[in-house]
Amino acid sequence: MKNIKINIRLSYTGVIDIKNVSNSSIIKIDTDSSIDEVLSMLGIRKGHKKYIISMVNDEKQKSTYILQDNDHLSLFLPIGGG
Amino acid sequence: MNQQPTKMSNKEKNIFIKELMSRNYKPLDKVLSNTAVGIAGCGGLGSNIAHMLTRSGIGKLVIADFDTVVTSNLNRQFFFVDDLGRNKVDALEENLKKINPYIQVEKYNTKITSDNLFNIFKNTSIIAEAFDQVSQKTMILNSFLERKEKGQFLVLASGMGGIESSNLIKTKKFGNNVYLCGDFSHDFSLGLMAARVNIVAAHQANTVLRIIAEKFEL
Repeated sequence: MKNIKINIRLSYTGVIDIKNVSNSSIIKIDTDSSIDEVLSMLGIRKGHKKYIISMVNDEKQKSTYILQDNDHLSLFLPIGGG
Repeated sequence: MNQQPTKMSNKEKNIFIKELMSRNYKPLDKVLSNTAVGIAGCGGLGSNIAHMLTRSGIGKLVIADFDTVVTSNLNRQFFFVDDLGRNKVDALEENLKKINPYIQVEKYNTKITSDNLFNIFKNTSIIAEAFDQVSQKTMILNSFLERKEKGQFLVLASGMGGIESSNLIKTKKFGNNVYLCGDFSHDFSLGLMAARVNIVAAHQANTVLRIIAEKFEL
């Protein structure tokens, strides 16, 4: 199954440092990739990962969730103040 | 005005509520007085959301905060010098009743946790998140998204620090029943000023009103 790519849509809100990927764009990832692996692929540091809340197709998912073709991955990183 | 609604007749109450809401958006008139909204935290966001919803004619607020009013709160929160040292929920209830003596306020002088969150707000249809700490924001959002019951809405704030442009502040949807308000990038380290904190609180209050009006899209 290696080298097979699937498409997911990526949306993000907050100061998530993702370079070269515009918000709400379609990206190609390896098949059988987890959310955690995609975050690493996007260059998100380990220390930031634990604060990011991930939703797939409007349902919260754990970082071990395996993404499927055409999934919509939404990321949110809350920041303090009020 | 006397703040004891029990000393007013039903007729006086009805006249007051009608006058209070006379400049309101009319389709909300009948539903607002029958709606309960939860406010998680009574600081810069929560106290201002509370007074905006009270001015709108909301029937009931459930407010929760463990803190007391200190002088540094007065730069942005809906409290006054004579509130200093008081529990925020007690001071806020009193201030809200200076606007509408008939509003029902259920108050909890306690820290909100994932264990008590849904018990405190069990009788509300919408919760406005109004915490200061990012760990608390994460706690409420995670608790909300992991919950099996999906009937409630959450309106969360993130990013209001400093004096950056007001036009950076937006409201977005996150899933089907969560709304996010803020600029999503400027945190408390830049300082918290009344103007931007109130803009975000107003986004949250307006989002609450739109949900009540069943206008779920942005």
